[in-house]
Amino acid sequence: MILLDGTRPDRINLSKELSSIVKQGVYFPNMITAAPYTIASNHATLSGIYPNRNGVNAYHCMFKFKKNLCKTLPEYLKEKNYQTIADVGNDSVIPHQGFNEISVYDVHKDDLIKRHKKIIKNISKRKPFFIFYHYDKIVANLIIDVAKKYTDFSEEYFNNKEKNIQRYNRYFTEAGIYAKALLDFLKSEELLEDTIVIFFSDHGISNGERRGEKMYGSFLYDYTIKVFSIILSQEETSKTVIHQTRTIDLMPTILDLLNIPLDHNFEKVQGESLIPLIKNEEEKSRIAFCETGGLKGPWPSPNKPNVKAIRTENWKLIYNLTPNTKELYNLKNDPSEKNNLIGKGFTKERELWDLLKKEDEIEWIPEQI
Amino acid sequence: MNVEIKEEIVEKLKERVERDDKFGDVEEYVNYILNQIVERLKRETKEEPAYSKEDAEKIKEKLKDLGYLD
Repeated sequence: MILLDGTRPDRINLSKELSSIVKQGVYFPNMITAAPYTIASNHATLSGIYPNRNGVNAYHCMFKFKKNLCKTLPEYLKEKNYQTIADVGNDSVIPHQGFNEISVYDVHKDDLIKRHKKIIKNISKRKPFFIFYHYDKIVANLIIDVAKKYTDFSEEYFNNKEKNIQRYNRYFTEAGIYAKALLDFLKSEELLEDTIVIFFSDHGISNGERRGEKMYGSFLYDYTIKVFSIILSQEETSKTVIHQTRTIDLMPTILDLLNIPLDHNFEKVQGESLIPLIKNEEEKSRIAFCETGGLKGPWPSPNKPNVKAIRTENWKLIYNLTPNTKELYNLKNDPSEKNNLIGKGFTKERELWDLLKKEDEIEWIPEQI
Repeated sequence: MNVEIKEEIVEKLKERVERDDKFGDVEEYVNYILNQIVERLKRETKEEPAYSKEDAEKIKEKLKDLGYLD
């Protein structure tokens, strides 16, 4: 699994390398993250369980993963004798359960292409293996160029959208070069024949679309919650699945591809395998739930999520617990989410509100036996 | 021990029992559900307690490393 941290699906065409990879695998351009920041997004992706159930649903809950309740993908694979390793920019961005080894690179010093090729070379001698790579250069560069320079309300930042776009696009195309280098290396090592490779994103990044959010993690607009995934495997041919999918669907998909059954002694996996969508056995978009609590922005909430959303293919309802407002968007007619339709008499408002409440419901557990 | 269960709930449990051969009767299904909750509670209580001051410091450090805090 190769995480291209902070990559937006609306920029794929800018990278000839990623565009070429898209053509080689199954591409999911309409995938929705469970949370628009790396820590919560990855814990949900690797467990197939939404943040409100896996425990990592806020920045300050980074160590609260319910490891006795939620079984991670590496745990499943380790049980099947896979060597499981991760190389990440920070070890708090993934659950540790199931990994034989987690190493941390220095994003400003290490050459990630060289480093990751070397790891592949070493581990591929001990098959089967599972690698989780975290390409963090886009975010690391934007932390310097944007996060450290501007506030979430900076006039200079939000008045220079074109400059923000160009800066982001430059870093995005570098991510494409990294992705292609790794894929070419896997090919040259003749590993692609029996290896599943997944390129995926965990969240998007603002280019100055909304005042109050210079990067990500404060709001739930599409520029940060829409992500993508490309699955390359010998079993699946080139295809684009246009239906809406969710990052929590990736983990059960991998288990499905490997014929590993879910362990029902653990918390129910909420994601569903994407194989039926790939094989046209399922023809509908999946409903996605998403939540966040910003570290900064207009209403910071690092201890618990305070912005929640439910998204269907064409509609989205956002509930801002602080300051207790709702937003409803018709995404088909209004993809930039500028026209809030809440209170305008749309039946979708009630329908989505009921869905949001259902997804957000925490299972009742008695306090004492 | 006898426990009274509301008729509407019994009806729902019956529907589930009749769906396949997994449970012989409603009593068996009820015991299964309660066992699931008890097992879950056992696992829940094994979870780490609320944060200590040390944890709070660790979180702060991680967020600094990530570049989110100065």
